[in-house]
Amino acid sequence: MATLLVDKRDQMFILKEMLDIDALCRFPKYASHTGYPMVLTEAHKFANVELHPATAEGDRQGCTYDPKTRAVTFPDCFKGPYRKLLDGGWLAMCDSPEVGGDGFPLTVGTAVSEVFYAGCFYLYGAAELTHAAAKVIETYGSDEQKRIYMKRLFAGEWQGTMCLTEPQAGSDVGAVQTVARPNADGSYNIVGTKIFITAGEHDLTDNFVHMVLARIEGDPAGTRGLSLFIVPKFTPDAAGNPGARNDVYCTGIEHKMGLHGLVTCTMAFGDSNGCTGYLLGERGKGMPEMFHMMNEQRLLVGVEGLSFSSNAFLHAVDYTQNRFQGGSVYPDRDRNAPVAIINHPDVKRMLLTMKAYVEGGRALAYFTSYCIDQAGVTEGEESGRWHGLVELLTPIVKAYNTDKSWEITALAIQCAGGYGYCSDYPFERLARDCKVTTLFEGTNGIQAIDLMFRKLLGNKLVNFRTLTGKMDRTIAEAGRIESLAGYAATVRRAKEELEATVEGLAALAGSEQGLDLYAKTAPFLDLMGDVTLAWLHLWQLTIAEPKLMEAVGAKGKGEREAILAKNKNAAFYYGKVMAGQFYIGTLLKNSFGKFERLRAEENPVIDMFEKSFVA
Amino acid sequence: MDILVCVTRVPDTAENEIEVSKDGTDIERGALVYSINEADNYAVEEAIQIKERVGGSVTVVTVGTEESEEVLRREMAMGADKGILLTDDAFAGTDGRGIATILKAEVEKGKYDLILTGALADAGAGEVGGMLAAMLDRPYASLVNSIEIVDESTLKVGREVEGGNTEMNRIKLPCVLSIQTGINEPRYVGIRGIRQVASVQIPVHGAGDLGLKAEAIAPRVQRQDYFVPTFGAGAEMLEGSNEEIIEKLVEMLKAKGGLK
Repeated sequence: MATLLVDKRDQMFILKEMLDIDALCRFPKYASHTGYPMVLTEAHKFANVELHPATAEGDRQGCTYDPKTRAVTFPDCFKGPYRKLLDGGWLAMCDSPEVGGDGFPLTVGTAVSEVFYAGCFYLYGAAELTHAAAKVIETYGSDEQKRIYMKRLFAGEWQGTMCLTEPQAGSDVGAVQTVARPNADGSYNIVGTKIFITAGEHDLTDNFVHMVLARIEGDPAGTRGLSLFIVPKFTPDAAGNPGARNDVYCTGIEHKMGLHGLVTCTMAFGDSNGCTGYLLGERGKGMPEMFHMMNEQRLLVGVEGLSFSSNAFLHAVDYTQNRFQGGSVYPDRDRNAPVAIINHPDVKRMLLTMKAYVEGGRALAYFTSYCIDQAGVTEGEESGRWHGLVELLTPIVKAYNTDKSWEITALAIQCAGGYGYCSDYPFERLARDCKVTTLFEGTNGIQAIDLMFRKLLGNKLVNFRTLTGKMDRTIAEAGRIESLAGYAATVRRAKEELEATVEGLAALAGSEQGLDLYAKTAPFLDLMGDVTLAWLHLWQLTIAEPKLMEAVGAKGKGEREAILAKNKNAAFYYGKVMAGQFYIGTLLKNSFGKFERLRAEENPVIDMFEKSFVA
Repeated sequence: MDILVCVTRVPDTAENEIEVSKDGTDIERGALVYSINEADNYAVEEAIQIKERVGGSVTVVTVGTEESEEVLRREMAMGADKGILLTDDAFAGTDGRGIATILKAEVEKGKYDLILTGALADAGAGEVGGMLAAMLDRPYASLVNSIEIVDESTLKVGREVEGGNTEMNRIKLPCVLSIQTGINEPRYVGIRGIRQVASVQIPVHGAGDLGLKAEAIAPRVQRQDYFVPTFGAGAEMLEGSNEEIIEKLVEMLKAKGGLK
C-alpha cells in the first residue's frame, strides 16, 4: 500500500470523476490551475516525508512552558518541516495572487489540507489558524493593517490566533469580559484573559498576531457589543518589522488528553496595563467578523476529523493485512492455515464501515468546498444557491465528520486488538487527538443548534430544498442504472423521510412543543449527515458501477477476483461500489430507526429535572 | 552555465507493488503510478543549484511517451527553465544505446556546457550517461557525488568509489556527468512553481525533427526474461509478532555463536 495517510486515488476520483474539477478549471478564474494532480502528488510527498515523521515524536515530546520566561517551546522536530511548509507557499494556495496567493480552487485546497492534517495535525493546525487570521484582515482590515500584517500572515512568517474563549465565556461568547479602552492615538488598551488559545505562544515564528474579541468600554452587553482587535506580540514599526514588546503573555498551557504537539495557551492581555490593540473593521461588528474566520475554520475542522478517520482507516487496513491469526471461515480456503485477519468477516465489517464513512465524509467536505468555488465563478441566483448550500452543509461537515472520527478511530483500535491500545501503533494517538475536533471552533452541540435554527428554520428551508433537489437528480440518474435501482429507491425513501422530518420540525417550531426542538438538534444533524452521505455514495455509485462493469463484466467470483488482483483500477472501483452498497444497503438502515426517534412525541429530555439525575 | 539534464519517468516504487508480467519480459504496467527517476531528481537539483550560483539555464529533456511530459513539468515546477519531450513511435522498445543516440541528436541541436544524467534508472543499467558522453566525444564522470566549479572551463568532481570513499577529479567542460543520489537534498516542489508551469507549452521533437532513422535507434539488446528467484535451501522465514520474531532471532544467533 502506497501511503497510510490519505487515499490519493479516492481523492482524485472525487476531484476528477465526481466533481469534474477540469470543468471548473475552464472558468477564467482557474484557467491556469490545470496542474492540480501534480499539486496533490507533491502534497502527499511532502506530508509523508516531512510532516508525518514529526507527528509521533511531537506527541511524545509535547510542548513545554517555562513560567519564568513565559515562553512556550514546540517539539524540536517541528522547525524544519514548518519552514519547508512555508517555503512551499502551501498556506496561500487558494488565495488571490494579489495577496501573495496562487488562486487554486478551494476544492483542491481542501484535498491538500486533508493530506497535511493527516501528515501532522499539530503543525498544519497552527499554520491554518494563521491563514484564517490573514483572511479576516484581508476582508476587514484597513490598507495599513493589510500592509503590515496580511502578507506576513499569508506567508506564515507570523502566527495568527483566534482569541474568543474566556473562563466564563465559552459557547456563550456574548459573556466576554475583556475590555478595550480607547487611547488618544486611536489604538485601544486591552485588558482581559483568554483561554484555550491554540498556538498562542511558541518558538516557530518571530511574531504573533492575536485576533481578540473585546468590548469597548460602554458598549452594550452580549455579542452585539463586541469588537475585534488586532493585538500583536511585538508591535510592528512603520516598516512592518517586529518592534516593542506588547503586554500580552502566555500564563500557562493546558495539559490535555491529546493534541500534545499543538500548544493550548492561557493568554493574559494587559496584566501590566500596557497591552495595545488595534480595532479591526467596525466597532460592534466583532462577532460577524470573527465568524468570517470561524466559518473557514469550521469547514477545516471537519476536514481535520476526516483526516484522522482516513489515517486510522488506512493504518487499520495495513495492520490487518499483516496480522495473521486464525483460519479462514470461507469454505474455499484452508481452515487450518492462519490468514491475515483482514479476511475475517467481522474485521471486514469494521473496515468497510470505516471506508464508507471516510469516503462519504471526504465527498461531503470536498463537495462543500466545491460549492464555495462554484459560488465564486457564477453570478446572481445561481451563485446564491451555491452559497446557500455552503451555509447549510458547513455545520454538518464540521460536526458529522468529527463525530465520526471518534467512532472510526475507536474501530481502528478494535481492528488491531490489544496492539491498538498500545503506543507502538498510531491508533491510540489518533483517537486521543481527534476528540478535540468535536469540541473546538464551536462544539458539535453548537453546530447542531446552528443547523436547526439558523441554517434550516431561519432560512425557511430554501437551502434545504436546493440540496434535496440535487438529491432528486442523483436518485433519478441512479434509477436508470438497473443494478443501482434498488439503492436509488432506498436513498429516495431516506430523503423523503428527511423532508417529512424537517417539515415536522418546522411545524413544531411554531407550536407549544417548540422547546422539544432543542433536544432534537444533535440527533437531527446526525440524521441529516446520514442522508447526505447516502446521496453522495449514490452519486459515486453512478460513476463507479459502470466503470467496474466495464472492467469485470458479470464474471463469477473466481474470475472477478483474478481481474481485481491484477487490475488496480478495477479493484478501486470494486471497493467504491462495495462501500457505497454497504452504506446504503446496510448502514443507512439504522437511519430509519433514527427517524422514528425524532418523531417520538414523548420528550423526557425537556421534562427531566436537574436534581433528579442523581439520587 | 547552460545545463541539460536528462531525466526519465519510472514506476514509483513507493507507490506500487512491482510484479513481473506473465511473459516475463516486462513488469505489470497496468495502473502503475509513475514519477521522476530518483537519481535524475538529484541531477536536476544539482543543476538548479549551479544555476543559482553562477547563472545560466537548466533544460530538462526526456525520451518517452506523451505521459512523460508530467515529469518534465514537475522538474520545471522545481526550478528548471525549460523542458523538451522526445517522443516518436519509432522510439518505442529501443535500448540504452538507442536512448543515448536520441539524446545525442537533441544535444547537438542546442549548446550546453554541462550535461547531467542520473546514475541509474529503473532498469538499473546505468549506461546512458557513459554512452552519450562517448557518442558526443566529451569527458565523462560517473557516480558523481560533488561538483565544484573551478573556473569557466573546469570542474572538480567527486566520485563515489568502493568502501564509501570519494575520488576527486578535474574535468573539462563541456562534459557529461552521471549524478549519484545523496549529492544534495532535492527541494520540494512548491505550489507557485506548479501553477507557473501548468500551461507552459513543452516542445516535442520526434525522429524526423532529430534527423534520426529507424535503424539508428533499433535495439541491439533485447530483454528475454525477468524472473523472481526461487527460494533457496536454508532460508527460514520467522513468523509471529515483532517481539516473538526478535526472541526467535536472538535464540538463533546465540545458537550459531553470533551472540553470547
